[in-house]
Amino acid sequence: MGFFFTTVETKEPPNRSKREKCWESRDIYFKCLDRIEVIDPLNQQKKSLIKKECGNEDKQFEKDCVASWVKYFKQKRPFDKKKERMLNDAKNEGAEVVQLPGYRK
Amino acid sequence: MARGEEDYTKMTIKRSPVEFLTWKSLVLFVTVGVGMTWLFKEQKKKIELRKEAEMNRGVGKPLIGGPFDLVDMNGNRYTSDNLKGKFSLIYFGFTHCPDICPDELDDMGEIIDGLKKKHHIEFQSLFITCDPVRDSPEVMKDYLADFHPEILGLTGTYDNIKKCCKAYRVYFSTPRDVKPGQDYLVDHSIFYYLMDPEGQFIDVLGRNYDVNGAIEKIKDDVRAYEPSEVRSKKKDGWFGFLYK
Repeated sequence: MGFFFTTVETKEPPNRSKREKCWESRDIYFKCLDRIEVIDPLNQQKKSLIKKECGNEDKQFEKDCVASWVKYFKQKRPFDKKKERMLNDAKNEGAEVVQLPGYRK
Repeated sequence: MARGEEDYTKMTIKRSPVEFLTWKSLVLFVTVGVGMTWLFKEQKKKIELRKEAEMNRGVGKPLIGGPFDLVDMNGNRYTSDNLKGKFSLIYFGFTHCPDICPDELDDMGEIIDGLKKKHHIEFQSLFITCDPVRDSPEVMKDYLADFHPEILGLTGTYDNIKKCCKAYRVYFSTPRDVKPGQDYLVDHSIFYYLMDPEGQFIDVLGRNYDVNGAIEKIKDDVRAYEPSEVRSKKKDGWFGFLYK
């Protein structure tokens, strides 16, 4: 079982409370981005603006989440925003969003 | 017409409308009609699900699933033979997963409880890691302590996990040689696989189902399930054409 000896040194995965802490800090940071109307946190042109307005939230976010998660959530945000916008546009055009029974929202 | 003989034609004309139109006969007619319709619909649904399951099983070698040789989170060997005797719900993921896997594992817990409470259906639930390098049995055990106690974590050597994922058509992108403590994410497909008590694939449930949708789908699949012995008998029987 030499295989498992190598894994002992690796970091423990975040448990439930750590995950929730991370998600909370992420939401605070994203709310700040909403306020300054930045959709993509990795946008180089907005870098200084983000640092100035949401620097503290960003730091807390990076403290509470492992680096790979921070990167993942930051990359994911533009897609989530796009989805949100599409649903909103559809609603404004008078389209009805149909929730199929048994299917995820 | 001779005396004493009765005029049957007149009698039937007089009596029949009265006999057929009593409220009792009407109620009986409607109840039987509704009952039969429901029964036929149920049977039709079952046959359709069976057909679907049959197609998923494929001819000869199964399309999804197959032999695997892994280790459970308690350090015991766990192979595809352990699937036999119970329905199984299998989920692939990894413990360092940021948001989707923990959500799905919480859902899995609700599905387990829901099927047990609502439909008295019990099955085994497996969480197979796609990240064997970091997810040792100990790590899996600690991680799954946050979730439903019935979920059993499986891991194994890189090659065995890779083989297992390949058999289940799970795509994943774990690097083989990572340095200890290295931080990375694993891309992988997210599905629940429902396996029958013979260890054969029945159905796949994606992210499109919510908890209740998944519970109903699994219930229908489990109710429609027939052991392969019964299936092959039916195929040779009188109503065999229904199963072809």
